[in-house]
Amino acid sequence: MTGTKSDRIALARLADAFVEDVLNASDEDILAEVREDHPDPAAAAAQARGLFEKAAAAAGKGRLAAAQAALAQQRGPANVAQLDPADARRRLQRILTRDPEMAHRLTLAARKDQGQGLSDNDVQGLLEDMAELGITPDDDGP
Amino acid sequence: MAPGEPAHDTLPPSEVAAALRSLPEAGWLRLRKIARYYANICALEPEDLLQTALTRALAGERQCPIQVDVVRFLAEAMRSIASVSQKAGQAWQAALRLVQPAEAEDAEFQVAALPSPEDAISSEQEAVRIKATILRLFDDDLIAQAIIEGDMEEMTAEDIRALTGLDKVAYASKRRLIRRRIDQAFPRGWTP
Repeated sequence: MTGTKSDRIALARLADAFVEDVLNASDEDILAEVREDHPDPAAAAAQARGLFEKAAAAAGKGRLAAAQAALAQQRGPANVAQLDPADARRRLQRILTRDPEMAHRLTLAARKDQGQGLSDNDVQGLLEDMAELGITPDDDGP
Repeated sequence: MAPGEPAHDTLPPSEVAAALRSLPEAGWLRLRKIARYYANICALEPEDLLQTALTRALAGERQCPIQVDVVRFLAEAMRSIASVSQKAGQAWQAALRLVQPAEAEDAEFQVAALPSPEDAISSEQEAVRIKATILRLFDDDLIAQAIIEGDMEEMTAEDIRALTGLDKVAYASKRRLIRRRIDQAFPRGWTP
């Protein structure tokens, strides 16, 4: 029998046929075959599963990075420009003066946080969160 | 459907991952064997081939149709990756031939600057040798040789059975014998 295609393609077709055999074999036949070649089929399966765990971890990191990038883009300068820390505290103070209930909850939260006051980053983050909720000082100045 | 949006008839990566998490031991062993067969036709190691297929599936770069078993889906992914890798190897071979003319003064330097030949797939000559070696394993079994050549010609199972006169059970048994003898003759894959 002489093929018109290259021998490389012939080998690829043989691989396809063997893969089809493996896909159609019963679980028992697969386990029996592996036992003939491998002293510990469970370890062989675990090794393959380990590749999946690595791939899943890599995919998870990729999704997290993409989500963080999307969030950063969403929460970027369009909401609250990076303010001078003193301006940011004044801005927060104006919002809290207008909303005593929120001021009370923030005070409690700050006390719960080891009794320390809000850092500059906390203030900036709060302003960004509030801006997302549509809460801004009435005059919207610094 | 917007570009990049997954088709509704495919599984999202999270469901592919869930299917793989519940895959039984035999499923993983099946994937190992498939990776080994497809690694034979490219320059990748079986583990790298399987890992690449898994990574692409979980990243959503390859999408699994809902009606397709996840092991079959990964088998097809490995086949595709192996095929691309093989073509890349052939491109490398072509590039090697282009920079080898004797009249080129710096041909030796250019060849040395290319990727290592060990990274490329086997040459066409090697494929001839591998095919001959496989067939020689069955010099004592003309039926087996006919089945192998039928596979290489992409004949259907029905046509091969008609050619060999085997019934379904005898044919399945012979196929297993062929595959196992080749597996044992090439424990490190179909390398010369």
